[in-house]
Amino acid sequence: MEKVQSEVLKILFWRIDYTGALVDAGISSTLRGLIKELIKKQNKIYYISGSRAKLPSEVEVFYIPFNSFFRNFPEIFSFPYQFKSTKYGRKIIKSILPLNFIYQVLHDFNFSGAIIRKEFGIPLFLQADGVQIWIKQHWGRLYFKNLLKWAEEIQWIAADRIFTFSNQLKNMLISYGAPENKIVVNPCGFDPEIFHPNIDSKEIKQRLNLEGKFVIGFSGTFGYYHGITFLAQAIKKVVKAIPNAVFLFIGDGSYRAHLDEIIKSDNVEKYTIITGFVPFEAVPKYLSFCDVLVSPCINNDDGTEFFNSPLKNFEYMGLRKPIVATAVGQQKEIFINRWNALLVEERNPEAIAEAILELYKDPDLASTIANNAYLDGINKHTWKHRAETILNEYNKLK
Amino acid sequence: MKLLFLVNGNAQNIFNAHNFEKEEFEILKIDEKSLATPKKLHKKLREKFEEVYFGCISIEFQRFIPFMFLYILFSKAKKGGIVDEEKNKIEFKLWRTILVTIPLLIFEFIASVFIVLFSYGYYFVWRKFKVKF
Repeated sequence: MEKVQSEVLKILFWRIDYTGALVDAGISSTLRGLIKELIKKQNKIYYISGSRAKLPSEVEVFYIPFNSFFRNFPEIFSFPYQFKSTKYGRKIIKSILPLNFIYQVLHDFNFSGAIIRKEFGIPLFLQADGVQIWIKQHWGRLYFKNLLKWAEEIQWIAADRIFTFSNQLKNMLISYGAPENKIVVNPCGFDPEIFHPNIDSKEIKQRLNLEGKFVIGFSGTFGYYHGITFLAQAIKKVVKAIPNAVFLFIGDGSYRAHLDEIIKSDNVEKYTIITGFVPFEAVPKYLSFCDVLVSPCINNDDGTEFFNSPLKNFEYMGLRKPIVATAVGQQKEIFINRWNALLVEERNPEAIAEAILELYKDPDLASTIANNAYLDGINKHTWKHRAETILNEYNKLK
Repeated sequence: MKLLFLVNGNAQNIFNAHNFEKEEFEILKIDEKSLATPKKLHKKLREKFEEVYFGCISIEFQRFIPFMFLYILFSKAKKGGIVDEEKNKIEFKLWRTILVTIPLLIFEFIASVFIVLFSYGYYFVWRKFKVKF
């Protein structure tokens, strides 16, 4: 293993997005995973956030709250926060200097990282989870296009490195003008101390009355691109062939209503459990008694490829479970069909159902792909690997 | 029957926090974006409920609260409030909504226009002149 660090570093993680009271969504888990690994290497971690954060006790946390008045019109609350986060961020940074680098999650309308980079000369590492203009145009509403574009461009220009989760996202960032030489692909990962094959989940399994059932699980935010509606449409076919099958949806989100609708219209309520949001610590317990885990993500409607790096994929690997995944974006890079997962066509409930049935009927295949996925995950996809990528990039800057 | 619009969080946690009886409620899961589509919610609000609540994890972090009060104002019930999992509750009061919430919302709108105009200048200057490294 390459030596990635020879000194104790002081690193500031800086979150400028608004997550409200939610502390367990994808980016929070990502940052927590990276921070935990960096602490293991004896680094000193500081964290600035505008929302609540659930972090290891060693992290020194600073809170810059969003304005409580400007909260009711679209995007407006981002503008006062641009000024407030810069003003108070500057004060905090002065009090903790020297810093080796700042790791900031890129977010709409905010270029506080760029201002600090210019004033203090501290290397700025950005985490870009998407191109904001594209996201607003396709998944939301785009207001103040120029302001959004300028803020993002300022951050790209100022950044020393732009960490992004997938090759697909890298290509998208480049097509929107992000400098290619700064972009580093660093996918999501998992913590093998939390997601491992030996989790005791008897109590939850009993409580959910799932003893003796064949459980098909999904975890994550119910967003559009997670493709849960296609998984929901597969329930009907699966339960017809496996009468003791139960689909366990762990999570919640904007597509919950669509999910409910499909389950109701297909009359499969008694074969389905939707847990709602579950604390991060409890997720592995729910997943650990599942017999098959599914990642039914889909490509985007405008023809662009699925560009996310779903945490669930790596967590599924860590749990040593047979995985069914759609052949989209990063999923078709990390999964090899019939070796560490069954890859199926996207947006195809029939194909998802067929793959689940195949794993039910062929336990040897299920066991083989689960083992391969586990070894692959442990060797390539833990947060340790991701933290080392960041430290290696820091070393290159020196 | 009472109505709970579950904006985020867990309905059972909200019921436990406020000693509500689950059986008395119809729960409708919505997301924040639905608050911007009045037609969707308005249809439900025209039904006869004794009280209308909006539920969330934490009122401290919840956006769009004035709009929730407006929805209650235009409901048949005109009773209810905002409740969270942390035992916090803001009760709907007709006078407060008309005399405080709505004027504050108008003021926020006017102030927002100025903030956007200022931001255009500030962001433009940074983009064109200051972001050289």
